[in-house]
Amino acid sequence: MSDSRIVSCGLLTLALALPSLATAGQHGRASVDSVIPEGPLSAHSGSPADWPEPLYDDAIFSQVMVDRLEYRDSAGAPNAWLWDAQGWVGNDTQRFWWKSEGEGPINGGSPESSNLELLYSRIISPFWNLQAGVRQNFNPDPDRRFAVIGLQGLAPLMLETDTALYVSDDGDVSMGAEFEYDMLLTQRWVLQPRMEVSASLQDVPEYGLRQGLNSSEVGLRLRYELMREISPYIGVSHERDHDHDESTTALVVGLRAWY
Amino acid sequence: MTSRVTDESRRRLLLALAGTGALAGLEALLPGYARGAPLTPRAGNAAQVNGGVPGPVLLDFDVRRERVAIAGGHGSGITINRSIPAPLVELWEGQQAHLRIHNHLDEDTSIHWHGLLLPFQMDGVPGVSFPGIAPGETFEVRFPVRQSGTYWYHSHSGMQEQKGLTGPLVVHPASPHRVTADREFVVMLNDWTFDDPHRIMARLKSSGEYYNFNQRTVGDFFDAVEKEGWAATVRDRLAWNNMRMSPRDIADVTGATYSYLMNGLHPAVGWEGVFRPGERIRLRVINASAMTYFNFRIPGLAMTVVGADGEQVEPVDTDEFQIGVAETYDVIVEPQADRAYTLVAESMDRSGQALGTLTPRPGMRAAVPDLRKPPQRTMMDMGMDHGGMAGMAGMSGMTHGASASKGMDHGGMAGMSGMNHGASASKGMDHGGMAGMNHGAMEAGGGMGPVVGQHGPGDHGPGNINVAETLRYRLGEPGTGLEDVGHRVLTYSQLRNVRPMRDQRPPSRTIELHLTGNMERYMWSFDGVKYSESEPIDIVLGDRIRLVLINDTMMEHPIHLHGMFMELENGQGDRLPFKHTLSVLPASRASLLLTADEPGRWAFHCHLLYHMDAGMFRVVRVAPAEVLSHV
Repeated sequence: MSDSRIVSCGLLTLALALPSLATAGQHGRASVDSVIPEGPLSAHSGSPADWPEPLYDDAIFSQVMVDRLEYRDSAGAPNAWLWDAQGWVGNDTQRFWWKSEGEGPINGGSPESSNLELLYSRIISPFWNLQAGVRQNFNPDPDRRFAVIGLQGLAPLMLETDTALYVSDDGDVSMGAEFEYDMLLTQRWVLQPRMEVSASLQDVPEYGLRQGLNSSEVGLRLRYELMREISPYIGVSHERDHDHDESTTALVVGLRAWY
Repeated sequence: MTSRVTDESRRRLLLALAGTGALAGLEALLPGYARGAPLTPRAGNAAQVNGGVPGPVLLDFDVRRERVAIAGGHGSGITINRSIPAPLVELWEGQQAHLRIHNHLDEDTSIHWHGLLLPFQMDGVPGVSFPGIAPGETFEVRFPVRQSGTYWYHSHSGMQEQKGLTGPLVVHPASPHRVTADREFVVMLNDWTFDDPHRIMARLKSSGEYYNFNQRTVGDFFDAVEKEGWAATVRDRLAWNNMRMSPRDIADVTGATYSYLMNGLHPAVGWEGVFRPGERIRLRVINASAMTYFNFRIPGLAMTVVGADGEQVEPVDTDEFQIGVAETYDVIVEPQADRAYTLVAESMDRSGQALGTLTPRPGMRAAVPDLRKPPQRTMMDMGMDHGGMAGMAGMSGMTHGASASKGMDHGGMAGMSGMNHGASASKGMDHGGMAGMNHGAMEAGGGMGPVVGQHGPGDHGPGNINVAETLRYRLGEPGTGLEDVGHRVLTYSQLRNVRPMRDQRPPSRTIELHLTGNMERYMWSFDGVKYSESEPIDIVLGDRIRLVLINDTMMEHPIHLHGMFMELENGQGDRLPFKHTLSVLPASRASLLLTADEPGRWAFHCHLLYHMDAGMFRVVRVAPAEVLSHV
């Protein structure tokens, strides 16, 4: 670096007195007047407002995740198919989030259960999203709607957690929670224990729900990540209907996929 | 100001660019009869630095998107003068540079001259120094060359540097080198991917560990049990899992998608530099990658580091160095034997390596070392330290007292209102006093540096996962994964300027910035604030500033200031080395001095491309106080 790096006060005053030039001054430096341009400025760069920004860090991204798309072979119950999918679109802090689950017999007939949730999701801490929105059931009770408030994120011990509180249009309160944990056997073989529960705050006779635990599922799935986005899996799933005191165990085979 | 381009300099240019595959783009400079058919775009360019007669330089840069043969395949890349990497540019100190950029893309482009001192309008950052170069347009860059050394150039638009728009830039000194060499090569390192960088970003936003195929597995757990016992292993796993972090989080983007190139060539091909035994060779090592730190070594050959970030340092003999993204190192090697030597640039996460050969005869090869075992982060990298401030006992050179916080000026924190910057500086420690410390003790063992502070209150919001409670001085460390390699490794604290500090004034103001991030959501920022939520940092022209960087994340970040060199406070008294890019280790506190003598709007950002694009970026404004007060 040449010795002209040090600007003496005299030079500086001189430079201020000179008409500003947009290009190099005598020492290859910009004129001081060019640092703050005329007219409206970008609040972030201080450059003219009609220039593009140097980067767009508030871009919209999205994801669609089919966590479970599976065939269930159960002893003593009709074989069934199931889907469990969700997706989001938005920026780092605010996202529109949808979730849908459903299950039905494999040999035709309408699904036993299916629903769709539409939610607004907002990041409230590094690992957690607060979600609020509506849920519509299509089966078995297509007239049932709920207001939803939920908390979704990554709990300590690396538990993928999805919890929600539901208030039906009749004012009945229930809740649901799902937990998943990824255990890496290798870089591509992943063993995933999974637990899901739902509970009611009160009896809801017309829908056959009793106060307390209504249903629970414990599962163990072994997936192979062909690529991060595509993983076929096999596993076992034990479901329990606490209202009717019935339980089924199923061998499952399915696909986890996202984009 | 016009520069007269003589036939002589035209011939010199052609000579310099002969064989670079770049001649097609210089047609404007060629007489009609010499114009041949355009060359097929081809990766790889000549890396020999030819020098020649000093003079003004006029160069044309034709930016195109085309299919190139690269990294063992074919893909879409962004070429300059039909070449990836972009051709070697040689300039002369004290002469004029006139560089014309012609945009043949269907999107805006730009070229930033990384590390060069020039008027900010020429600095090539769209939206900061100029509006960018629209499709079909030409932008002319003119500046007097005021320095010498090893630099590089790259696009600052739309992730184009990930797709090939990076090139080496060498400025020859006006007076002969202090350190002479018989032969000079550029060794430029890149991380090439056939993927679309925007897709890579989208994947990272969905899954921060998408490219990490080196996670801890059940097998690793049982290995650890065998070594350390059940209790310790379970405790360790619980600790990491509770923090929801991975000690194997070394690189965001890895060899799972990257091919690591040396001078544009895939390791299977390997770049080759031919030498005569007994010659002194200057290697100008440039990390021009988007995301990859490299460990550089030449098995069987010692290196002498003589330059860092283009500026000269007192010679340091070493066997290996870690080079952060956007840094450059000049090394001298003197191979005596009539044999080949392998140049190894291993990615820091050990997911791949770029390779080359110095050889007395073309085609001759030396053994290629295997990739070494991947490193792991420790709890120290997280800023956890149960010893608290105990580590400060040995720091006799430090001034304790409340005085340091008295002089702090938070004026530079504009746009960060609501944040609590109560970090270590307010603990009343004078880190300027660290200059007199002897860090020799750390260089031997490669252990963690001493504790120099505690993080204050405030967690920088949802965009930041980790807060480094215990901050360390880590300039004496060799870099992640190089603690126990069994040979000499360069550390920042060994870098000593060949010239004494010109500006001896004590800093009149301290600007403290925390490096923050959220790997889970792939958010990156300073102080938890993204660029789009920030305001410029204003510095009065001519002021002497202390810039304190505190890394709250568990990864290193290469922090780059455009337009001005920073002086790293590394304990070298009045011989602090100049840096344009500083790699800040996890849970560490680094301080730099800066004389703000270049008026302008300058970009300041993390040079990991996807971190910058996620918002780890600021504009620094330098102008007289009365000009700044008009805003």
